[in-house]
Amino acid sequence: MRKLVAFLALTVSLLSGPSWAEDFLGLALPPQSSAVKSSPDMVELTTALPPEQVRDFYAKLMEGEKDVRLREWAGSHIVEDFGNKPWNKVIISRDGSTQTKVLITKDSWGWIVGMLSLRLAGVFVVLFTLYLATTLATGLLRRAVKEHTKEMV
Amino acid sequence: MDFQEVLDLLNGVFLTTGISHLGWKYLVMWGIAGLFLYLAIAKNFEPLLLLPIGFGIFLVNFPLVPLMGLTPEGHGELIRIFYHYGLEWEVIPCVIFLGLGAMTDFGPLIANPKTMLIGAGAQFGVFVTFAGAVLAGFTLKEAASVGIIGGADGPTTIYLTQHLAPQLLGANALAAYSYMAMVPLIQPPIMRLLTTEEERKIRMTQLRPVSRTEKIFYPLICAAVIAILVPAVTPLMGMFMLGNLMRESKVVGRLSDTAQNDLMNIVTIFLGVSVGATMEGDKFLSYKPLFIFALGMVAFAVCTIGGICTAKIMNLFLKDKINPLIGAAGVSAVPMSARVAQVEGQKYDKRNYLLMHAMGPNLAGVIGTAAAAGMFLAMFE
Repeated sequence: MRKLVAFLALTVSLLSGPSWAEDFLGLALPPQSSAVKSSPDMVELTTALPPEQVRDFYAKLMEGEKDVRLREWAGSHIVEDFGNKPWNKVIISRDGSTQTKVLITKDSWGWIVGMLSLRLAGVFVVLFTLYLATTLATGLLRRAVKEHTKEMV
Repeated sequence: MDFQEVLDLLNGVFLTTGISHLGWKYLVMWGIAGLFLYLAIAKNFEPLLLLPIGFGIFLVNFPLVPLMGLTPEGHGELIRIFYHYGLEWEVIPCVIFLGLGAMTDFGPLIANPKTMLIGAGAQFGVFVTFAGAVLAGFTLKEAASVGIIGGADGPTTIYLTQHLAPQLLGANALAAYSYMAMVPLIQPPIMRLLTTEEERKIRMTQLRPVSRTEKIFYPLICAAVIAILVPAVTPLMGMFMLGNLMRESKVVGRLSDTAQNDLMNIVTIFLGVSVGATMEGDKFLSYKPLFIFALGMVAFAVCTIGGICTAKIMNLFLKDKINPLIGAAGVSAVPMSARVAQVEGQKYDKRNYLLMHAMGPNLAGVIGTAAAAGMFLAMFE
């Protein structure tokens, strides 16, 4: 009986254990990676490969894709899609730890709206800076001209 | 030579003509070209642009014409060369900005710099349309290039589209220039819808005179701010400010005259014909250009709304109220949308002169659209 229970328990644990597809939303996962966290919107993986190798893996995979961009940020390599792929970006952390963390996120309206709001705010920042610079410069110029005129008188 | 040989000879000659290659797409494109020529010649809508664009469309929509292809030796054909060096190399938009700068008086904007915020608010439509374009199935880069149409700034639209989605250049440029031409038709109903009669009658305090020194310093300040904050559009804005500095310095009158007249006219011819020539029936007659025209209209309308609403929001905090009609001028379309604000204002108060006040947001709109384009370029490149 014990053997039967042990066998059933082993079978159940094997069947219900984590089983990962080789891709997330059509994007291949890096080799030798295992998932840490997963939801329909993202998957977080770790791999023993160094970050540069994971980056090269995706760089090769995305060769010829004109809407995919590779970015180098301070703490991570980023592979971003601006086309119509269902995934949004791959963040490959390079924090110096032995295991490389890879985060793949799904395209979402939250990201698009957030990104657009940020850019619109950016336009305001540019014009507000120009407003401040113009006000300051013209104020200084007018004062200088006034003082110069006073001296002349 | 027997009869069959004569027939073969005639057939050979026939095949070298365009007659055997004609199809319905050519007919449709001739209709579109005819519409542009009609708007330019009979209605006087932006004739400087719509006429060469219309003729460009007409000319390339004949079979076998050697205009936009490559020669057997691999050289570009006539209009393809204009297109390649003018648009693909982004020379024409920048040279047009040089001429525009030489034509522009920044006095109203310097005298009332707070109207710069209206120029920023008017970019709202660019971002709303971006989202709409993504919903319609465009890629993010294409969506950005479609959204920028709302800024009603032809050269900036061409500049951004060439960078992000060159395959949409013809449709985007055409939509931008078409809507610019239709400012007097599109904007007034929106202006009336969003303002009360009291608001339309607001008289703004007269603008202070701006000294020559201020006008000389302004292009330097503006170029520096843009180059630091949105370097991606420095080629455009740098040329704009160079043209303006040439004008305001008053020491290079000949250069300034050339930039705003001869040079501008020359590049306008090449721009118009090249843009028109991108509209070959095979590429143009699909769902995307039609979507672009629809989304361009949305962009333009929402930008107008954004400008008016920003002016109204600013009025909540200002002692000297702004007439919200000038908010509509926050879309670029210089000076057409400023003129529309003036005309609308005078319908309700004959002695209300809004033109110079509206020039402030109008010029801020040019800078705002360039800033929005710079934001997109920074994001995607």
